[in-house]
Amino acid sequence: MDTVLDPFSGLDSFSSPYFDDDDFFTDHSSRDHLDTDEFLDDDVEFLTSQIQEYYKDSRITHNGEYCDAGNFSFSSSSSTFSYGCADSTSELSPHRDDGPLIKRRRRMRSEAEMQQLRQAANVRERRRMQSINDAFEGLRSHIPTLPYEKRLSKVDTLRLAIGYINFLAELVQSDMPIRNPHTDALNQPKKVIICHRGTRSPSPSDPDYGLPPLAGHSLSWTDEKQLKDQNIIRTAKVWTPEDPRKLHLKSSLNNIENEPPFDLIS
Amino acid sequence: MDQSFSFPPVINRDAVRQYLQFHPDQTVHILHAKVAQKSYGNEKRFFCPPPCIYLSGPGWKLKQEHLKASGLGEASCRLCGYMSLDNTEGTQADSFKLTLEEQSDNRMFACAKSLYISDTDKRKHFRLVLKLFFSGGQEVGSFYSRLIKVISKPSQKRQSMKNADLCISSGSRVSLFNRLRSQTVSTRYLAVEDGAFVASARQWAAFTITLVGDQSSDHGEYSVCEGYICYGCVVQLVCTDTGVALPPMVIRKVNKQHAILDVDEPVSQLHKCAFQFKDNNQMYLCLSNEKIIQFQASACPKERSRELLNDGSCWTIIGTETVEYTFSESLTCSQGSISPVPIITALELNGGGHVAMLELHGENFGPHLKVWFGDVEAETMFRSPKSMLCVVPDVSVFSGEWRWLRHPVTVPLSLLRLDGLIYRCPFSFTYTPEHSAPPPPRRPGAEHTADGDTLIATIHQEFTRTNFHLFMQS
Repeated sequence: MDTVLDPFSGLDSFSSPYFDDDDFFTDHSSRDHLDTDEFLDDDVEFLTSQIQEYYKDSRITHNGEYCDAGNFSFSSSSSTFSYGCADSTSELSPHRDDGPLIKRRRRMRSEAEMQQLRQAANVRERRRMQSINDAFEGLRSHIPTLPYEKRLSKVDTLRLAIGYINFLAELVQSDMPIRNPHTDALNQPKKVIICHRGTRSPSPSDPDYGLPPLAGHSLSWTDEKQLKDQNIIRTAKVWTPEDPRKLHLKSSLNNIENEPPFDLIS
Repeated sequence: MDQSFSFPPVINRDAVRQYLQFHPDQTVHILHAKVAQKSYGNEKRFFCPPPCIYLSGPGWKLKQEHLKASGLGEASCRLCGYMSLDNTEGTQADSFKLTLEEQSDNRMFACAKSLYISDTDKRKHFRLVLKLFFSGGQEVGSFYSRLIKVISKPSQKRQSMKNADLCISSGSRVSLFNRLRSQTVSTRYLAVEDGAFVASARQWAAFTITLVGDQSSDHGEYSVCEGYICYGCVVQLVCTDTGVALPPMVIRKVNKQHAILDVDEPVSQLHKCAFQFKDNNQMYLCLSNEKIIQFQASACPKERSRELLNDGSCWTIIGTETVEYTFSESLTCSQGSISPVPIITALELNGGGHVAMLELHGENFGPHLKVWFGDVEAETMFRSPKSMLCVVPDVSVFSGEWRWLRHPVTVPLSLLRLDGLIYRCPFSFTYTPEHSAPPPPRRPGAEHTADGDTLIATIHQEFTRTNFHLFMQS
């Protein structure tokens, strides 16, 4: 939890010159609420960065989250400070309408003000949840499902997304079993295949989660010595004996190539 | 088997894993000719090239240190060896005492210069046997060569391909030697030292002789052909030890110091031959003292199909064999002999599904041997001295981690004697992951015409099919 909160303590210090601590802490209940929200946000952030491509149309971007948090403090002092989040500014209009708010901040808040803040927080929260749900919908639409299946839950969406990404990565990396399974089967000699006896059910933390389950392992052996011998032949370097007739013609050069005189000394 | 087990050795996965990591092996390498010429009456035709042995691996030093640690003096820890024919009834007189010398590459080398087979021995084939022990009397073991064919003299007739064991096949190993005026003392062997070919009076090397296609390139890569080596063929000689090769040469029959250019019969054991460089066909492979050079032959005035050679360019060719024994005493406490050394000649896989069996064919098997796959002991059944059977361990025992099941796993095969002696064998065993059965048939050619959407649809389909279990979880 500490690590999760860290970025926000940074934000606090950043924003402190713009409004006083007192003000910040009066909104205690909503802040607590915010904390848990932000914690959730952090989880979602992982997703947003992963699938930003698909995420564009949901309008809230990574920056948008910051903008949202920033609005809380800046909206009253500067109406243009909205990072282009059109809907967020319009929804925060109660704040802006209330121009002299900043002067009254030093006093205790009135009941009406508290209600207004509460309302605003609720709106933001609803919007945030909506954006998460939109993102899940976006992610869901990219995950293959069974035709008869009911709508995937969030956790299943995430689980399947992990599996599907693994599956696609494997597809790209390996020479996929999906493309041409028939020619494969025809060209290969009969294999002795052993089914492995692991009965543990796969979990999302397995690196191969989402990859097609193995049919087993084929068995083979290699004569390493023979392999080594073949390798020696394959990588042979040719040594050409010198022609004594040519020795006096290009003496030194030939000598260096075949028998360096220094070798004899050393 | 006369091992005295002082106390049971510790053989577990950790011990074997440690062995596999450092391989403190002792290796015995025996090189010898495939044929031996019989000696008649009082003759002594020494085997040529002389059978030789190389001892290599860090295990020898370890063993010596071990002996010293047990209280033996320096003088008792020297390695000694005798080589003899395999039938002689243990008479030391017929054995050749080897002088082991340590080379610069840390291998120990010795050769048996004066072994011969008398005509009183009526066998058609025999083996050499090397007995190794420490000077204190402790036996290491006995090591056998491959079979050697006894011949009376080199064939002068045109060799028939039917006489396969006298022919030299492409891809087999040969030795080449040169003997001036048939004097044994002047014999020099083609060898490689410091990356260069030499004519050594001391050591010989085995060369792989291969038939080379005409389309050979200059990059040291040649198309290798099958078949027997015949005169007139282009061949290449590659040193089996160092990988240094001579340029492509035409092998020529030699008769009375002439290269005969119009003979195309198969090359036979102990024939005299010459090697004419392909790129410059006046030049022949020749020795000049210890050096290997090119020699320019002179045309024969009377016969156009002959060229006059010198002594140094006439070589005798003979097929050679090599046998290698590798073992480790690092896990054993017993001081017994390591022989008989089991030899695996062939493997055979059977079964599949839930249980696969590996059958081992070879020699010197016994109930005291277990097959190990890497650091895992397999359930092993002894059938006969020539056959053993074991259950292939499940791949999961090698992979503590789930992910390794997705990659091929290769483990070395070894045989472990009950007392912990390890016989390393040249085979490795591989488990290759196999994917599920192919999906139901698709329209032929679909993948060629498929646009992006159908491809994605196919991938989706494949994902849901192969990951049905994921959908069932919630």
